Amino acid sequence: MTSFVREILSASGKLGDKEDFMGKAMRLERRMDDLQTGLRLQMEGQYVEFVASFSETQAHLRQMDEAVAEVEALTQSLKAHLKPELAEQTQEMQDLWLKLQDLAASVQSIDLSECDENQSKAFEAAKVEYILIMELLQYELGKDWDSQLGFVTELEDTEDEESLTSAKLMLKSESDLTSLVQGLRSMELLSIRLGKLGSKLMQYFFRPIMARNVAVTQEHDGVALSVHEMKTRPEPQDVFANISCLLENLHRVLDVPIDQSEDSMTAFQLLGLTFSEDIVEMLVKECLLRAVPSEDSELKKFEDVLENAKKFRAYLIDIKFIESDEKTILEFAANVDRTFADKKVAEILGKARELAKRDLYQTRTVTPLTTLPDDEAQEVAKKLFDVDIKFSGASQMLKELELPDGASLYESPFIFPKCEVSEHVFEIIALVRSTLENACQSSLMLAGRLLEAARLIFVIYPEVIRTYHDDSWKQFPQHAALALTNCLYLAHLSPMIGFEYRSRLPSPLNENILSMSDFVRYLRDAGLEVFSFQLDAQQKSMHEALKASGFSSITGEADLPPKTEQSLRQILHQLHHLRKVWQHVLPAAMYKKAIGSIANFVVGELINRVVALEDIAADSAQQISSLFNFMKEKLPDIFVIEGQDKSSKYDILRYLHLWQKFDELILVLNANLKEIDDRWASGKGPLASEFSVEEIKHLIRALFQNTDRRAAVLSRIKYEA
Amino acid sequence: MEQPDAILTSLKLLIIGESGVGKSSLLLRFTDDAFDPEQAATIGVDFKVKTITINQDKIKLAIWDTAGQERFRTLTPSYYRGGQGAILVYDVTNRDTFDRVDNWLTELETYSTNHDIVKMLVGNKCDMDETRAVSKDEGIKLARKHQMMFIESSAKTKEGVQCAFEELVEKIIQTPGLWEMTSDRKRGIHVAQGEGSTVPGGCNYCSVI
Repeated sequence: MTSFVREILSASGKLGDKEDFMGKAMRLERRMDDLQTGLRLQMEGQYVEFVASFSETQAHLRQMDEAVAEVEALTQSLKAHLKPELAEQTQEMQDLWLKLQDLAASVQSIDLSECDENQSKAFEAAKVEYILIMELLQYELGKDWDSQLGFVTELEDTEDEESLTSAKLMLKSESDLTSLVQGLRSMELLSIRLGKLGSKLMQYFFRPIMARNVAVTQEHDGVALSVHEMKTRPEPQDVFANISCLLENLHRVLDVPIDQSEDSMTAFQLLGLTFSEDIVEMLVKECLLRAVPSEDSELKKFEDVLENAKKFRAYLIDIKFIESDEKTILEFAANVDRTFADKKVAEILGKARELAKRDLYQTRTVTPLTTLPDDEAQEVAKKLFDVDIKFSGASQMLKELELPDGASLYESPFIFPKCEVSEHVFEIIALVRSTLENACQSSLMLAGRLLEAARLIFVIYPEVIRTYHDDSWKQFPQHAALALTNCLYLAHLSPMIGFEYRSRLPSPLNENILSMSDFVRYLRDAGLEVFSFQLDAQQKSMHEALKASGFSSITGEADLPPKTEQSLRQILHQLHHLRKVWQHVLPAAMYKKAIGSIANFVVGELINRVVALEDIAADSAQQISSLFNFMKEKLPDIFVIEGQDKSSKYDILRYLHLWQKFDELILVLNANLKEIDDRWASGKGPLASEFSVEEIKHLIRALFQNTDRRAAVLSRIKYEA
Repeated sequence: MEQPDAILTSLKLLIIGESGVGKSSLLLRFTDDAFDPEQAATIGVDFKVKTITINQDKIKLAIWDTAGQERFRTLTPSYYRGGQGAILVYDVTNRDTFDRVDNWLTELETYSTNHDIVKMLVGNKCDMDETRAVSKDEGIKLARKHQMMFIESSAKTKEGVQCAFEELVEKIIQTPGLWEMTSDRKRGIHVAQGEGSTVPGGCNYCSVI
């Protein structure tokens, strides 16, 4: 469009560039329009966006307001109804609590950054307050519980609950604990509270009640326990009474339902459910088992205890502390006979052990004894060994046998030779007898156990000797000898000891052979093992003395060293010491055999050492022979038992097997070649029966210089056909 | 010292019997021609060697005298081992000692290694006629029953002692297989044995005869 002004201006020519004003204004106007439109469009777009977001936020805020209001309303309502209507509200509260949790979760899912800050703060505050209220509630409930059921205890030594002298359970008997219990239950705190209560009851009441002499009394504000006597164990009767008193009080306050259901359990039942098993077990173990007597006379009395125990059980079921199918007490009652037998056997064996542990050196002399008259002995032998011997006849036969003077054959196999045994052996035997006597008067079951106990005594005894007394018998030869005679004495009695009681045992035990004869070997072996140890030890010490004697160092011209004589004197001294401690302890024949074996060892060593010498000067031979003669003079005395015939020194011939050889050696040491030749007597003399050809030739070469005569004699010493 | 080649043989003789019958006295009389009225009981074993001449043969006797009392005896079988002759002694004045000869015979037979050992029953103390308790006939009967020689003797008066030993030895010599000549005599030559030789004599034993 060409405007009028423009036309004028352009016509005048004066207009020049003013001519374009119109176009410019129009361009501006267009631009303004454009800008206006753009702005509007943009604003419109922004508005639409805002409106959408705003309405959304509004909706959110509205919802939250509702929720918060609801929370507040509920909280208020809870607060208002808490105390008076706790029982009714708890379930609801529980539900609400759950709902709240849901809500809290959903609220949290909203992006709070987009929310109004104030509203967010309100929600946080509500949450905190809620937690505080719950905590407060728990605290209040706990405080309430503690004020209802509290403990006061006194311990002599604060560190040690064993030293408890008194305890008290505080109970507010007038208050009803129903709402408290249910409150705790709904807060899931009841089990914890009852558990704590139970543990304290165990510690301050049940355990002391069953272990000590205590009194449990009811007081106006609770139940009190006071310890009378730390050491003495209570009678079951008192234990029942004390527990009853305690439970009655607990029952009174805790016999309230734990929830509102029809068949709700009571708090007392719940306590019982948790602790009754331990308590009943403790009752049986600590109180009833201990109370089982080990004397028959007291067993009758114990039946009353059992009766009371059953009544007590019925009471516990009655108050619903234990279930009616509880069996522990009944089982105990049913097995009391076995328990009694266990106890009795344990007591007998314990006693046997104690007796066996007594010193070995308290001794008593046993003289030959017949434990049974001949005709009874015959019966025993017939039963035991299946032989029919007329002992009276046998005795007669034995008497007719020619016996050396002083020697005696036992008239009957039931005679034990004179010796010493430890005093405690008689008490062991008395214990075996009383055990068997007891068996005769017992029920079949108990009798069987008692027989077994009596037999076990024979097992225990050698075991105690072996182990407990080992220091004693390793150190002292006398104790080793006593260990042996003790075992032999028991071994001697063992086959017969049961026989005396057999017929009186309850049937069918009386039909079997009651014999301990299977222990004979066992006891003998144990005794011999101990004594052999001493024999070996003695031989070792003799061997040491001989090693130090310097025999092997004898050469040519030298005189015997002084220690040679000294060691032989030591050996003699030791042998005489053994005689002193053994001669009366061991049976005579056994003593001689034992001392003979040691002396024989010594003599054998002496012979071997001399026979082994390469060169024996005439002077040395003289000295050795005089030393040996000294031994020969002194050794027989060890076979003389004090107070007996001196001539028993000749028993050395019997018990020292190398005696003859020793004698021959002394002869050789003093002899000339002809005398040796004669004593050899072409292998028909005593020298030949004691020494080998090699030995005697070696001796001749050591003793005599190499001459024709020596050669002639040596040529005649040889093995004869 | 005797010449070994003069010896025909060595014989082992045993004297057994009850305690107190005079065994040691018999031996003492025989070897030393002596008598001790207080002769002590023998402890263990006594042993003596005596050489006698029988029919010009020299014979060496190794005589073992054992204790009669049980308790003084060593009970070693070595005592009986190799015995070729046994003198069983009883006391004619003590019946018990005669009755017990049987026991001694049993023991002898039990331990003897030569089953044909020559036995001589000797009734000692025959000088004490006034207290005699066992007749000579009884002695003879018993000896016959057990194939023994028999003699009565008195160690105190020497009666019968020498005879008892000599008869016994003669009988042994007459019993084939019971004795052997010493190796030297058997060979007829003397061979000096080296000092170191310990070869048992049995090895040059069977080759002769």
